[in-house]
Amino acid sequence: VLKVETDLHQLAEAASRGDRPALDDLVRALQADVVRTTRLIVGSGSTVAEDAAQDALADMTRGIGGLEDPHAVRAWALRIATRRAMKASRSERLLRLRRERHITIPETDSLPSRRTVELRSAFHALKPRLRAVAVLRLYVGLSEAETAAVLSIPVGTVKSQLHAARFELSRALTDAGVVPATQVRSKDRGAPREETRH
Amino acid sequence: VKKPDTDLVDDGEITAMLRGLAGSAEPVRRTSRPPRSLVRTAATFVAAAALLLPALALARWVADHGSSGSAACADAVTFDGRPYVGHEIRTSGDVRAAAGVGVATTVYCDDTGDTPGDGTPARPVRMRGVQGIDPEVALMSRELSHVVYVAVGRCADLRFREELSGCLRERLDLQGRRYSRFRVHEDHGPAPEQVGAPFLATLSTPAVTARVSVRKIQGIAAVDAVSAEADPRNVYVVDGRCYVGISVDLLSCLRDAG
Repeated sequence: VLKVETDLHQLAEAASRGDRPALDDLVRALQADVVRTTRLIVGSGSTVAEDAAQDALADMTRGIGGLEDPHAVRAWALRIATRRAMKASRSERLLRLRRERHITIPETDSLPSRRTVELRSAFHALKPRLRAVAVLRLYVGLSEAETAAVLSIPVGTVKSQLHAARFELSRALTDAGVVPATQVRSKDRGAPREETRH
Repeated sequence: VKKPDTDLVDDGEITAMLRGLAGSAEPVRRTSRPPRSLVRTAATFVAAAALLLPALALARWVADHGSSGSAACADAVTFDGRPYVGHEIRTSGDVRAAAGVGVATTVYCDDTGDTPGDGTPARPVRMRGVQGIDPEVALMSRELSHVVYVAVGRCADLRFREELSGCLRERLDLQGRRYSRFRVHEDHGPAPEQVGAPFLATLSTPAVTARVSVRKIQGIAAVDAVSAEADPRNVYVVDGRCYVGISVDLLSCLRDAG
């Protein structure tokens, strides 16, 4: 990890001085984080999300000259991705209401359980800011302080918003009548997981 | 109302759910197509076709060069018969909107790629000029204050934002052709090698119009590009030649063009 971070900051330094091959390498190195973060915040399966991801990558290439701290290049890229995603979320909501412009993103789960489907739906219904906090903390793996820095909010707000996200997701699962995972685990650890209350 | 227990969903489960949705590391590519309605009417209305040619040219330009695909498509407009592409300019403080110049038209943009005809239709957008810059070179819209619309082929190498303003404002006229300035940066290799005798061109900026000495570049025709005798890294490229993306080298493109 240390070597990767070192490589990133060296690439960022060179790219910000105008080294094009270094910029290409830097974008390639950060692309997965930027694209997936943008996609998850806006909403997987939306063309708006894919556009926002492309815009975020373009923002990186255009804005590399203004990067102040090459050591913080990953946070800088995630900030760009989050900003683009938050902006795109507004138009994505309108399109979702009209049920338009959806595409298929290959999923790693071949057959998601009902609980997972409900959880995804509930996550998509969260406010964009709550989704952003959850994605940065729980998917990208940033610390609370790093998440706060990327979103330019206090650490306490990160904590409260993550709690709010969990609360909303739990409420959605309860409303949907899906058996809580904790109950399933405590009731019958060895058996296949049941999906609904009977 | 009973409050739900937040323990019903733990962080590990949310993480696993997000991993399932994350998808590939590449944005899903979307396609752009020329408007079907234009194809239907082009055979009938020659005059209409003349009006719509810039939109078609722009759609083709986007398809050929737009690394950001339909994002560029969405940012493209035609104004007074010329195609323009939008670029964000948040850090270019000296690019400011001027008075209104009229109405441009966005380009039809097919976002779905699977259902013909259901892309975003073209629509009118009220445009403003940019202070100190010819509207033939750049415009701004009344809707997006952080986007400058640059005529296709002008100042394409916009990665170095600090150069945008200067590039947009500078023109070189040589033997009836108009050239735009590009900078070959030190990190990208040696300065272009100059050959032949110097000749005079007219350099115009908002502040001054002057005669400057330029020279041919080794392996590149002067009708495509020349470089300043005083600073060979200042390369002047004829309008419409060599859009330069982040991974394409300007000089290689110009040599290939020859």
